[in-house]
Amino acid sequence: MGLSVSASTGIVLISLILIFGTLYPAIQKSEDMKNDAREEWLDWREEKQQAGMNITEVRYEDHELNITLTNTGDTIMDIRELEVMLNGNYSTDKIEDQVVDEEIENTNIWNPGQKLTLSLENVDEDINRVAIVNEFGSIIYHSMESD
Amino acid sequence: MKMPGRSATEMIWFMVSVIVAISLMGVFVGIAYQYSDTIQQNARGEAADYKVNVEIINDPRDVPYDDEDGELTIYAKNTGTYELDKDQSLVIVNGEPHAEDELEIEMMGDSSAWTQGSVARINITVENLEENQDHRVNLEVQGIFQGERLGRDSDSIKFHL
Repeated sequence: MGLSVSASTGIVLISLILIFGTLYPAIQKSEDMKNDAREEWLDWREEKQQAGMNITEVRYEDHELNITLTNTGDTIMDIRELEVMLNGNYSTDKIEDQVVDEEIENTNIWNPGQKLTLSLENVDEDINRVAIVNEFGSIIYHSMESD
Repeated sequence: MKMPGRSATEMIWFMVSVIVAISLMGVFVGIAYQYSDTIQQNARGEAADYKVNVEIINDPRDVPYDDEDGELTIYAKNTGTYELDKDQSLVIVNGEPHAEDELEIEMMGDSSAWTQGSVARINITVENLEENQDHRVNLEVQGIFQGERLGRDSDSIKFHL
């Protein structure tokens, strides 16, 4: 009787160690994974909140539309990731030229405080609304009805 | 003559208790293994939720709608890290879900997949969308990561036609 009790107790104890040894690392690993992802996301949110831009000028001339933007935030933005919507239609593929601070042409980096001019070609005459989307999905609008 | 009988009962007792203990604990250990798998899978999904981001970039003033074909156009930008699964997108227009065949998803620019930063044009066939009314569109997407489907995100837009 005594031997069987201690034997089964031993088995139970070993199993408890096995169970704990499986669950504990799994829980720890998943918590780490979640925390890392959350931290990364919070960084992204912070950048998104600090990002800001402004449409300074929109000029239409002979099927060419020049949009001048200023990076008013504190985040460096990627010019390739900007999207242009004209009258609600996707028009990013009409961008022919991008100039930062009226002189730098071969860059995709748009630093805080810098001016960016986007030149779009084959633009219809009746455009009266411009929307610019940045890499974070924030949108700014410009209406030209007053023109 | 008493001794062998007693040790035989004891032997049976011993074996029975060990067998019972092993089988019970085997079941518990098995459950623990399965459970730890589930925990990790859930965590992977939750972590992926943070990396799957979609944003509807339509100008709410000018949402393209073709009344003849009943085609509503939504532009959605992948602002997350993971690629999005086009086939798993779900668009809810005024509470009515539209998926798979009812959606026509085309990538804009030179991208072929819905990767980070790329924009998809989603055409939804919604007949008789009333003009001079407010409408609401909800978009739900799923991310793909190494062949697994992971993470979800959604975005919505309200507009007046």
